[in-house]
Amino acid sequence: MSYGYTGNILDINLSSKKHWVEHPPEDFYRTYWGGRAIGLYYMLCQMKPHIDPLSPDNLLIFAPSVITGTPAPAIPRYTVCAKSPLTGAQGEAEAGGWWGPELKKAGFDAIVIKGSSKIPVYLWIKDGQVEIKDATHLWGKDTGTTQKIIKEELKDDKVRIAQIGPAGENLVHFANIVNELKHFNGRNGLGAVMGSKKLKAIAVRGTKPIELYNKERVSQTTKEITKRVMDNPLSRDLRELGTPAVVRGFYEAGCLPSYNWTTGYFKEGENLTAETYNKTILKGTKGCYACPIRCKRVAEVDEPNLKVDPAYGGPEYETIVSLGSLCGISNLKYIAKANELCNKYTMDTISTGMVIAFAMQCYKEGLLTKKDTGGIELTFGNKEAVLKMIEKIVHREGLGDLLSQGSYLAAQKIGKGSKKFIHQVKGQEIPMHDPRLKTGVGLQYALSDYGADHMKAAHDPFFKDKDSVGIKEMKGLGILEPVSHTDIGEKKVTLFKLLDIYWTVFDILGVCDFGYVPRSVGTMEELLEIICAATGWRTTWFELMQVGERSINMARIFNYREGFTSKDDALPEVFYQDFTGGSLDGQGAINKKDFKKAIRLRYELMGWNPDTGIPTPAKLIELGLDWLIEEVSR
Amino acid sequence: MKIIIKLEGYLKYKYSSNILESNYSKPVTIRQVLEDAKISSADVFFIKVGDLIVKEDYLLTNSNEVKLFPIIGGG
Repeated sequence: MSYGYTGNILDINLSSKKHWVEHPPEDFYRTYWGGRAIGLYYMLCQMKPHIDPLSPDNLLIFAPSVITGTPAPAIPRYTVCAKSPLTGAQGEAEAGGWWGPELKKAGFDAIVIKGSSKIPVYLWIKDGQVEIKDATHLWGKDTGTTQKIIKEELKDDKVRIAQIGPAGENLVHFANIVNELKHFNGRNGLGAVMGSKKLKAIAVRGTKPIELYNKERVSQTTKEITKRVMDNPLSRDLRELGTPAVVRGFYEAGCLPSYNWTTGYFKEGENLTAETYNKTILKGTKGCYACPIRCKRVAEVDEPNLKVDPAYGGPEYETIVSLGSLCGISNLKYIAKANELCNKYTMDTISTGMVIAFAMQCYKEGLLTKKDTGGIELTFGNKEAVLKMIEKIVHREGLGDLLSQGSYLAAQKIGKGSKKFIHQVKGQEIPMHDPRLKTGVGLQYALSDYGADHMKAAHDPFFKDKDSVGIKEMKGLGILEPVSHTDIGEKKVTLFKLLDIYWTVFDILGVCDFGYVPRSVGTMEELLEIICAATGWRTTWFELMQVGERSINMARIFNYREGFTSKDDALPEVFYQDFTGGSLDGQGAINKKDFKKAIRLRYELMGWNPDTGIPTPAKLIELGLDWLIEEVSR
Repeated sequence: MKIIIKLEGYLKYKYSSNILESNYSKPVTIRQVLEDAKISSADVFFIKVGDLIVKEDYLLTNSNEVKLFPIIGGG
């Protein structure tokens, strides 16, 4: 009898239209647990190196975890994995919402999709039954329309649907996957992989409860965390102001990414704050499965010439900046419209904003002309131009086709020195947190196996003081000493080695960082309690950290065999320069030599070759990955 | 001199107010002001006085408004 997990992994071959169910032993689950760890296992075992990410040879894996679907708070997330068309590296993206728990209730721990269909299809999975259905009539439709049609066809309003819109169908390299219209597997272009397989959607419905080892203990811990979450100031802030609350601090400090990262000073920043948001476009808030926080924004605009449909949620911090100040836009209503378009077409808002801001700078510098833009005046601050460019990217028209491949490839094709205007790691555009004020975040940008990501570890400020929550609550990991948020020395490197692994455990288990320490109030001990009560496994943080570290090493090897080297673990040049404008003018540059030293130390701490960053055979043996030694011995 | 502390973000929930006022008869560091107001520096990411981003050892010599911004994580 298994608890927490179902013991069923669904394999689907879209080329042959066949499907079957694997029943891995308990040891498999105890080794990989869920999410990216399960995804990477299949990618390393079944995918040949150097395949085209948009070919039938790519795998597409949907994986919640052994604790997804329990009533415990803030554990709604699941991972999608594939080789990324944006980076060419291992790709992954986690999403909240309701789809992951529903897949578990429908009887599966993961879905592994191979091949590709000749015609558009969608999967219908209900209580262990699987059907591949024709989706020809859905191809080309936006996500709202698709969701409505599928729910009507299946005659069940409680069906949960993960799907792609036209951006995924048109193979935009940063297309994403959405569930319930507003919860995204946002980054790495995994929506394009889904589109390349002609897979429009996966509809799931489960009516069976997930078997838990000790349901009462899970419920008791849930009640205790939930009560504290409701009383916690940070949670209240997330509920009332949401992630847009971040805007004010960055704008007032002069580190709000603006005008394609040329400055952190944005004069009209007040227009983008959470307070302005609440007064002008906020319609309400929404939450994910079993989460009391309800941090998600829902925006609505209803003006004669501008309408924003609240069905697609509302812009979060990253979107407000990437489609706002980064493009010189200070009108929240237009940012909400840009967000709605990206969401209904399923296109990552960070990369979308970044490629448009890049094109705006190229236009400003004369590297792109009105002829190139199809007549669009692509100047910073032109809000109508942003909306037009989104349409062009989605439909791959003119300059939009070039930008749809991401800024790295676009700069190569534009040439003329445009490379200095892109800001990316491993081909993925950087998010909207500036590493000059959070050097640990910079380390994570550089070292992330799937390209720059702000959700690769807790951020530095949680560890800056002896009374910081990270120091008070995470001693169990050996985190005892505070480190300044701008430090890039040995203590910072050691801290972020641990945080990287800890956060990877969150990703594997589907835990939202807004529910547990250091970002929130659920403790490490309580998370352990939930896992033990759900699965019946008497686990420890030692075991969990090994699970996290194992998957980091698996990703490292995947990337190594794809040709990535230590040169790819680098920050964009802009962060080695001081801020310009605003309160931080003339300050902040990260010392490049110190940063490189930090990367080298991190390799050593991880048990990797300090010159190449390749895991050593001893490290692989320690983590039970001896089956991968051959990969590093070539 | 009058020091007005403006609490931004979640700080206003944690310390049950968005404005705190205190009076000092001589120059005082922000560290001391925070200590007197029982505000933990662990909660504070940026401190702004006028247009300047300052540290806790900044000496306030005149009546002033001190803006405190909370620690900022990802998301």
